[in-house]
Amino acid sequence: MNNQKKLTAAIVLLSVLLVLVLLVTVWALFFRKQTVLPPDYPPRDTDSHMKPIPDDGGGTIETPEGGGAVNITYAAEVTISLSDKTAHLYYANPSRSNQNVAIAVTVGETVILRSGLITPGNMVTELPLLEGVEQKLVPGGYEAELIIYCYHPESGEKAMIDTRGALTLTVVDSIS
Amino acid sequence: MKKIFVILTLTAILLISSAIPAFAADISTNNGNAQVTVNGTYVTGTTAAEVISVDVAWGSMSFTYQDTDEGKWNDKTHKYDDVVDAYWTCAADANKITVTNHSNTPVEATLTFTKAEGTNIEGAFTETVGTANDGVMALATAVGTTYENAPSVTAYFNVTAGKITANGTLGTVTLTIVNQ
Repeated sequence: MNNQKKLTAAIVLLSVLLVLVLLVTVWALFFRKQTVLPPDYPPRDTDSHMKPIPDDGGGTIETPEGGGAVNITYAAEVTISLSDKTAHLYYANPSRSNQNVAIAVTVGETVILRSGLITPGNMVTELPLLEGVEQKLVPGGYEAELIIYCYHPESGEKAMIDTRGALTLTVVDSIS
Repeated sequence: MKKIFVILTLTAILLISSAIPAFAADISTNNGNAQVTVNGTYVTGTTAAEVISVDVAWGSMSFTYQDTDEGKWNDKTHKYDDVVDAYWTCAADANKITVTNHSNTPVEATLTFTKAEGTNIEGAFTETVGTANDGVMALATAVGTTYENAPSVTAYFNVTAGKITANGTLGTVTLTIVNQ
C-alpha cells in the first residue's frame, strides 16, 4: 500500500515537473525577450524626400586627421503649408561633405520637423511636419531654429559638433 | 490719280512725323534754350535669395586625461619624487575647428561647449581671429571673393577643468550660425 502511495506521489510530482518544463519551454520560445545588445549608434534611414543636388560641384573640404567636415547650405526662409502639413525649405549636403546629416527645426522648445539622414550630394526641399504640429501653428511669421546633426557615414557615430542656424518661418494655410 | 497718291503719301508722312515726339524726349524752349526731358523706365529686378553656405571642419575631438602620477616615495626626504599633476592632452589639430563662409551674407559663428551629463568637464575656445577668446567669430560675406579665398576662421577647443575616471563622451560643441 505504501509503495502504491509512493508511486502515485512520484507520478504526480513528475507530472507537475513536466508541466513546469513545458511552461518554461513555451515561455523561452515565444515570450522571452531577446538579449540583443543595442548598438550605441543605431543605423538611421535616409530621408525619403532626399534628392540629388543639381550641378553639385564636388571637391573636398580639408579635414584634420580623424575628424570630419561638412558643408551646411540652407535658405533662411521656410514656408509651411498647414493644409498639406509640409515645410517647404532648402537644405543641401553637398558631396564635398564627408558626413551624413540629419536636420530638425524648432520653434521655441517645440520640434516641428525632423529629417532622416541626408547623405553627401543630396538635398531636401520639403519635409513633413511632425504629427500634430499643424494644430500648434497658425498663419503668420515665426522665428525658428535649424539644428544640424552630423553622423559618421560608416560607424553612424554622432559627431561632437552640432550646428544651429536661425530660420524665418512663414506659415500659410496652403500654397497655391 | 498720281496727284492723289502723292497727297496721300505726304499726308501719311506728316502723320507719322507728328507721332514721333510721343515716343521721344520732350523738347521745349526756355529763353531760347532747348530743353530735353530724358525719361527712364524702371523694371523691377530680382533679389538673390539669402543662402547660408558654410564649411565646418573639425579634428577628431579626442582628448586624453592623464591622471595624477604620485611618483615614488622618498624615505629620506619624506616626500614623493617625480610627481606629475593631472593634465589633458590631444593630438595636433585634433581640437581644431574651422569655419569657412561661402554665403552671400556676412555671418557670425559662435562656439559653445556643453558638458555631457554626469561629467564636470569645462572647456574653452582659443580663436585665431578677433580680440577675445569668447567663441564668437565674425566672417565677412563671400561676395567678391574666390572660392579658395573665402573668409575663414579657426578656433581650438581645450578642456580647461574637470576629470574623468573612465572613457566616455565629454560633451558637445555647438556652432551657431547667425547671418548678419
